[in-house]
Amino acid sequence: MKKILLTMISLFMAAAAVMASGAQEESKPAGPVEVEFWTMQLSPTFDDYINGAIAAFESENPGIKVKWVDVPWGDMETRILTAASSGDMPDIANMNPHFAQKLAQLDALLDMEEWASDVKDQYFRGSWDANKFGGKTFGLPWYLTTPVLFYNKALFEAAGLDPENPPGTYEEMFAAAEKITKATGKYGYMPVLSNHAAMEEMEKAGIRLFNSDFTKARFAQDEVVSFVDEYKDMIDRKVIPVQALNEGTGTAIQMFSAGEIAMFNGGTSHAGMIKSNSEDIYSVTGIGAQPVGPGGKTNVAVMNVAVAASSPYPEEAVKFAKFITNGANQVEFSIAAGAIVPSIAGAEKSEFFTVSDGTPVADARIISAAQVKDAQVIFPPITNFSDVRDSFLDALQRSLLEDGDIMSNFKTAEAEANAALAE
Amino acid sequence: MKNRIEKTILYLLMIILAVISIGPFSWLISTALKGQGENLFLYPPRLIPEDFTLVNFARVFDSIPFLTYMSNSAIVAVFSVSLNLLISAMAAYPLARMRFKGKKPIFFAILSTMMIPFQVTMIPIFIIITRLGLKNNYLGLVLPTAVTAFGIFLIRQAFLAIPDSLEEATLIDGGGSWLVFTKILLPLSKPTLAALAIFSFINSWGNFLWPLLILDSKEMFTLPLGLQDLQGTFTNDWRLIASGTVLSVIPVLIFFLFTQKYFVQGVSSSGIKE
Amino acid sequence: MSEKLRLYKPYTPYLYLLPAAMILIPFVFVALVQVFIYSVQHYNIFTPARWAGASNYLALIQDRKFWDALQNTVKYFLGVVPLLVIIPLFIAVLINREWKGINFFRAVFYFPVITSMVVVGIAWKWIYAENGILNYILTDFIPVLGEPVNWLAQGSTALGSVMVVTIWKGLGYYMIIYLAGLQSIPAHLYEAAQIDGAGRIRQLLHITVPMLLPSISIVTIMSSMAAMKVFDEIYVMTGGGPYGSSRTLVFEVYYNAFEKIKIGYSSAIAVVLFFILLIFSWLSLRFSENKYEK
Repeated sequence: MKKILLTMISLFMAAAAVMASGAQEESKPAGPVEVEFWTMQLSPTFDDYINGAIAAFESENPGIKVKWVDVPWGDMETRILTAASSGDMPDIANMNPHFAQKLAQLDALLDMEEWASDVKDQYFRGSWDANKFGGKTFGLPWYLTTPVLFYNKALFEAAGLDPENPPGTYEEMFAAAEKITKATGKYGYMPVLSNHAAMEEMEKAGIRLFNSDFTKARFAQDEVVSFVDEYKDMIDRKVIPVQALNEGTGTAIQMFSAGEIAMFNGGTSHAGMIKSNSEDIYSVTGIGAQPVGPGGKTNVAVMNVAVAASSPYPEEAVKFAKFITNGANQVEFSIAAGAIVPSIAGAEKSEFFTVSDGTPVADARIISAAQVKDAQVIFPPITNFSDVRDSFLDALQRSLLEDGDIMSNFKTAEAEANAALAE
Repeated sequence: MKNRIEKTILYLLMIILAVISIGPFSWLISTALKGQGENLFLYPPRLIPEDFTLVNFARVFDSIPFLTYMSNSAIVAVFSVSLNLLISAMAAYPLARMRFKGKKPIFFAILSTMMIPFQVTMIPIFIIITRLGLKNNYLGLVLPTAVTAFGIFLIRQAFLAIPDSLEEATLIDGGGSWLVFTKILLPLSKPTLAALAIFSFINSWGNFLWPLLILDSKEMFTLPLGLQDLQGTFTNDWRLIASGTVLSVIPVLIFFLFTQKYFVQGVSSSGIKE
Repeated sequence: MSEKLRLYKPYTPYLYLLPAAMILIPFVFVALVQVFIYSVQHYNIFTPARWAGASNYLALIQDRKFWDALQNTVKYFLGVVPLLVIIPLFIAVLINREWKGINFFRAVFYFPVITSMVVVGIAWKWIYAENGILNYILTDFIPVLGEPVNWLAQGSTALGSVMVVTIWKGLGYYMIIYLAGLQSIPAHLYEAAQIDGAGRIRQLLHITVPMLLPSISIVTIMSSMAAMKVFDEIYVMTGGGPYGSSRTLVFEVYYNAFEKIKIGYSSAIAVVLFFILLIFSWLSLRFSENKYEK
């Protein structure tokens, strides 16, 4: 009877061995060099575009094979870190600059100043600089979006405002928001205060939260306290929904789609999401340029393509990174996506980015593209950004939700942030 | 008469509880059934679709290879459930019926693994699986949870409740331990095994984080991973997401309905009564 | 018992334990040892690990976020466990009868258990939203609230709101365990009580509850473990916020590892959590094993 048992165990082990060997064959190709390319949630929507680009690259470079892996949007960081822990980091990956900065801080990414200096001038200066940290540049800019103002024309009309004339400055925007809330009982404006966007909101309002080279935090300022007081007051009077504190743009889109908020600053792709959520609201959605605050800055969000320092084939990997971010490919991708702007100068001049058919989707794209050349990343990559941001948000949320002393909250946060920056 | 009133009250109570249990899913179900033009985020919420449609379900099948993902999930679940049953039962046998050196420490060591959250050991487990070359492989997906302390514990309780006489008779007649295991212990613990089958099935079916970490190829994706594809980077159609989610729950519900009778008996005979 | 023991060969027990050992040793014990090693290192995945001694643990003691998380974990435990021990008991008593449609109700009550946390998160976020159904009910339908509360955004309500989800999701699970226990109580006990003229409530207190003690202890252990390991609900519903008011220990472990890339520090939190759970499980094991040995 033991025999049966032993047979079962050996069968089990044999099965394990067989399945294991199958996997190894897959991961160790002979012949051409294989580089792995990870994207964030582009499949299956852009399968045709990405596969086409890879095929074009491979036929241009017969010695290189590209393996494409698509990762869900919210899980890229966990996946990259876990993969890296076993020495299996992808050669090329699509990341946002704040996450890439963490890796750059650990010397995990190639310096593009060194590897891609030949293509540096193609990209918008602002988008190239978005990947600069400690004298190095850790990624190539890929696609961009500059936030635009989404507003509900029906609510504007109900409050006696001109629906064809969106506010151009923060001051006008808040004035409009107050009027709308008074007249309709709906929220006038929803900022996002739950992530680093909260810090951008303050910078736009003209508050400098850091010294000029971002090595010292300056949270404990009277300006910060009065900003918080103002926002707190607006939250109390329902001009701003309290969700702004814990929810991201996703909730802003939903509430806008419900007709519950009159204005928010969103990305170009959000017009399509509003259309899918609610045709009614989409038909009264207006798009305006990103309102300018006293700080005078126009914000841009950059997606980059970075190459792992641990890649065994850095040349091939960089070659592909340059290829996928070159002008022709970026334009093609932007047109396929319909909701993003290329980071390459000149591409925004194509008809797709200049002529509107009058729909909010097209307006958003065109206004966003027009803003792009003057836009800048408000926060360049900062040392230990996630600690700095967490301390700041902690103080902000405490101050907005509780009755404690605002200045002392930000003093604590400033001390924590400075400790993180000094590390 | 008194009985009648009591019965009505109790039924009402059950209906209220049922509403609490499935009520939270109503938005999901109603969103799945809403037509393209309908506002999904109205306040107050509207649960009955104005423009009732089933087309969103069809769109799920057009957008992603739903059936492939579902059969992948089924393969993984069957693989995982059978390993869990076999290995847990085998380990439970000596722990319940034999006396040997190190029994207490071994049992305690096994039980203490019940306390470790996956998030804690995720990175080391990933490194081990990679070293074994089991990435992007169903074996690598299933092995780390091929047996759980909970499973061993549950079956041990069932084995403890079986009278000694049957086992002794077989052994004295010259039958080996394997005969005792397969002909006495397993048949007499069928309900507990069914219970463990459901627990493992649910764990395997809903697992997201681990498959996310080790599966690269889309063709191998399980349902929770595949459903992510309904949500694009530049698009977000809640009708699709809701329909896909509703569809993905149906197999589990069917599995439960078929096995719940066993299941109830299973936990009761697992010895918690003794 | 002694007769039978001699009938097994000395190596037989180990043979049966072997497959489980093959899984548990690499994927649990080795992994756990690795976590212990990380906890005395400065390790960030990309650069080689450096010896840290006790410094991760010393940093832990001074970290207010750690203490907040520990406190939240204890709150979670205290808030969730008693309700999960008591409510499912009543539900089980309620559906422990052979009425028409009872199987349907059992399946419905079990539904939350079998749905994944991601789905549950979507569903409950909609309930808790400021323009969600809960506020609609509490302001318009039964007006107990003057104005809508944003349940997940307020420091005072976020953790409690997530606890409700944990309880809601656990009811069906523990109900089944009680139901099984109930079915094993001999009917003659109730008959005897009825003859003595004992009412419903006295029957519940004097027969049902004492007879169910073993089930109650299992449910207590299992729900305690679940409460102290809580992660998914927090991750999906609040992300630990606002201002860290809903972070628990496992959340801190995850956050330090994957948001801050401080594996050593994260592992130190994990080790502390492990010892808390170990002591707890040792106590509960002694408690429940004594019952079985009787």
